[in-house]
Amino acid sequence: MCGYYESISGFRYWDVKAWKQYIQQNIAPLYSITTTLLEVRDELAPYTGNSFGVITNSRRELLPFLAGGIKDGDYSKYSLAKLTRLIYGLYVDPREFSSAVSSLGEEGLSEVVVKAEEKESSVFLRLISGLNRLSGNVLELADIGPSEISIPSSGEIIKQPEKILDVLKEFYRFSISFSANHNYYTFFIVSTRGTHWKALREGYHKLEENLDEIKEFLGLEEIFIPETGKEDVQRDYTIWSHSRGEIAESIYSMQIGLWGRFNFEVETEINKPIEDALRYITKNPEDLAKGHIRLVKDALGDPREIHIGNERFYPKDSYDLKIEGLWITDWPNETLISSVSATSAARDVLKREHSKPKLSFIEFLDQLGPYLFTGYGEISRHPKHKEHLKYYGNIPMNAVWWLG
Amino acid sequence: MNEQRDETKRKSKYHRERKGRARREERASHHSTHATQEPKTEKLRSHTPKEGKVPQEPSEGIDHISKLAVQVNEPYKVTIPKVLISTPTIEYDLIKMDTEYSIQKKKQRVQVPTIKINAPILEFQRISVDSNVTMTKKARRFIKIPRIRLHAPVFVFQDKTLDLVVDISPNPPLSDISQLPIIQAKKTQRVIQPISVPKHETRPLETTQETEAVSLSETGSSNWIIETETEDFIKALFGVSSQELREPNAAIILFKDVRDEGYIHLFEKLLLRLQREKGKTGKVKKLTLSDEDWNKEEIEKWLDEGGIIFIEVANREILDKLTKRDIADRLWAIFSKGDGTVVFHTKDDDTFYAINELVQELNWNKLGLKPEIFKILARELPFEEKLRIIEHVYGFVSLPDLMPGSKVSWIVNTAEKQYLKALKRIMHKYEPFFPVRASDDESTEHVLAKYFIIHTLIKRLQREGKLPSRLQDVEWDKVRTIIETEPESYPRPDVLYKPKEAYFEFETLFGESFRKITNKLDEYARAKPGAKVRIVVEPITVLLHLHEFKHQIAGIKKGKLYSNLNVEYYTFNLSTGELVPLGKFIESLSRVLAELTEGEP
Repeated sequence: MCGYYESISGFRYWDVKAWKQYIQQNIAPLYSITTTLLEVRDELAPYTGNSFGVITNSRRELLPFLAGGIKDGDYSKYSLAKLTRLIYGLYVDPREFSSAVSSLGEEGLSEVVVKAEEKESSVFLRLISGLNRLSGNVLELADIGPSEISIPSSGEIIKQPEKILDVLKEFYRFSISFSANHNYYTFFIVSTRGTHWKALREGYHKLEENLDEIKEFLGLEEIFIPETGKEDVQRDYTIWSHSRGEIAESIYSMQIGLWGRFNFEVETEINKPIEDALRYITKNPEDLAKGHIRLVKDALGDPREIHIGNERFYPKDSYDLKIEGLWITDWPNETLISSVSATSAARDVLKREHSKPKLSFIEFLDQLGPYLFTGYGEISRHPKHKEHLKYYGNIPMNAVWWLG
Repeated sequence: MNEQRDETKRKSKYHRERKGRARREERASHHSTHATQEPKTEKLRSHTPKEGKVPQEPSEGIDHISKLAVQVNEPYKVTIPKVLISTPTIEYDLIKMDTEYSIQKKKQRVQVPTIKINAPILEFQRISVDSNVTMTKKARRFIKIPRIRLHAPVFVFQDKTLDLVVDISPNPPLSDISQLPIIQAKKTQRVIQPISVPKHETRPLETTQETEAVSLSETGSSNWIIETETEDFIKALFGVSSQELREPNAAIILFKDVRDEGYIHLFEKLLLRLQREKGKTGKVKKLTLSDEDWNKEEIEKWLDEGGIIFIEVANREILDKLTKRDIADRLWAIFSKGDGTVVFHTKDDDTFYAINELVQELNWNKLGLKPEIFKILARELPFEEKLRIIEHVYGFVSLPDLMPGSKVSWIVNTAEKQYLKALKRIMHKYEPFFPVRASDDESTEHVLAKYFIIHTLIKRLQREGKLPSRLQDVEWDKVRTIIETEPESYPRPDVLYKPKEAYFEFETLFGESFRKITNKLDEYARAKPGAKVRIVVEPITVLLHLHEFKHQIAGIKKGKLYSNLNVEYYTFNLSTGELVPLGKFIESLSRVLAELTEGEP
């Protein structure tokens, strides 16, 4: 049986060997690249809190990473010191540095202290640390060795600091290529996250016949089976997702990390260091979060609201779903409730949200299926009410907040 | 019958009374007629002798005198004057009494509206009730699975050359101060989101017995693993890091406390300590928003000394009484010199958001100020966790039995008192035998710490049998030759333990922050290579500089820092009266913090 997704060249989601190849080609390089980047950081980090003079005496080759391109109390346009700060959050205050050396020369460096940005500001470092941990986990589970990608080693980078740009380019290339925006395998992982069986069956025609093998390899599992006597209905409306710590979940978390960090349109400047660092190698870094939303919009139209029976449901919000049999008996909009909490309207909204008419679980999933399939939304077990489900919407855009 | 009889009696009595009254009135009328005529009769009678007639009957008064005159005239002829006394003439006015009165009720007219009520017009429509039950099975539902077409990414890289130049050549002296580069740090307002409280089983409190007593041969920096990435105690508790609080000169902190709790007291202690590290006095001025408390001069004086202002806003009503202008005036009083920290705290959600709104809406540019604004939402912690946190702040000091549910404020105040009491007790114990050298500007904390270090060293010598257990029996002159305070040497340690040539340096970090430790170690590295340097700090110092300590210790452990020194770090364990290696303390603290931050994204 051949459908649209089966006709895509090179996309053999039903084949474990193809999955291994995908991991080898896309995830192993990310592991190697992030490992190299972290090794460079390990060389610099121990000097945090110490006098800069210590580095000049013992590790002079590290000097450009912290002071390269500092002029008159500020960074030059392509300053290495600024790049170190953007990627690793390690820095010396440019003003302190310039002031110390302008009066005392090299001797003044003992007055300058190496600092580390707060965790929140080190978004790039947290991204590469996270990708490294998750990709390492995938390689281990798939029993695949590290990639033999040709990138400079950390030692070479320390000796020739400009080589860090080569590593940065590869990091960017593989991050983008790996993403569900451009990669059908990663898209498959996103599709299988919190989606009901019927949507998966309709989308991936060869999944059913290869389910056991794929389920085993990727770590897919049923997280909710509705209570009904009808076997076919029960199977179609069972929610599937990823088993904790398994390959699919690790790949999905990598994707969330990239959507969250390659999002340059958020209101805050949370991802500014990443954008600024990527501008060292490319003029317009790709906004993955925005790109995926566009993909969904092109396929399904603007996901503003959908009608389930007489009720309106907003796919971009998050809902608490209380399921009884084939009914959703309570479905408060948690996004709305949290947005009005601590206001005078909170009680009314809460009351109203808890007194909406019940919805048919079947109709709900059929309507929402396309959004779940594209990764725009996800159904999971509710983190607080274990017996409830939770719908999360607008995932690519919300990822930035989940990462903090 | 009886009633008729009674009625008849009442009537006859009434008639009798009426008749009686009529008769009495008639008599009275008759008598009054006589009374008015009588004077006339009298008058006529008095004129009778004038006409020569002898009265038949003597009468009283004039008649009697006339009689005497007749009797005397006859024998003696005496002329008796005839006195005529006229009777008084009484005239009465006849008036008619006005006995009329009105009991007529005044009439008021009421306007009664005239209402016309129409008959209802009822219109009915004829419908037939749909009683059909649809049992037809709906056609098979299809899901519109989108056909997503993914495109291969297009990469356009640019080749730029990194600027690696490290400019460390000294500049010629500046002749004009205007040549100095002016760099304005960009400030972003940090919004601290509430953190969900993780649910987990409370573990039994770690006993401080787990931390080993200090042994000078044992390293204070090895044999421990950093289990958590949490590197900031204040951030783990309150969502805002110590570094963030340290940086701004002008800061407004909006603190939402937990209802029926007092986390603000713990925050206050930590904030004050940060202030002292910045070289400020570390005192608190507590104000309300009411007018009488806002003495601008007093506030300025207070701020000049580096104090922090805590303003409690108990409820919304207090805020509602003030205009934006009032708030601006008050904040202007605080920040007019571009420096100052003010903490608004409340336990009420509405009030918190109202303060936030007010502060945000102020036109800071117009005021010429832009303080950093922090929002802190304290979160409720289980009793055991509260206790463990406060124990770490105050060096595991013994606390009296606490009732589960004791508020943070109470635990903090008790712990602080006990902490100082324990240190002072040690000082008083050794003071008579071993007075330490102290400089004039030495802080109390510093003096107390020196005694604590001496106490641990003496205990060690006692354990090793080198000193008698009773202090009175100790030969203190000899002790002073092996334990010296502030010896004449460079660098000059707080305490020198000669048997091991260990240099104890206690640091409060007041005025200089963490750099003080780095400077001290640099000093030893230059002047005393190979020295055993023992850095001792208070537990609260570790909490505020967790990140720096962890990284410095890691650098030393890897041999990348101070490789020519033997450096160990310690803090107080007041429950055992020993110095505890910092590694062990951090390990214990990290476990608490890991639990605090567990479940956070």
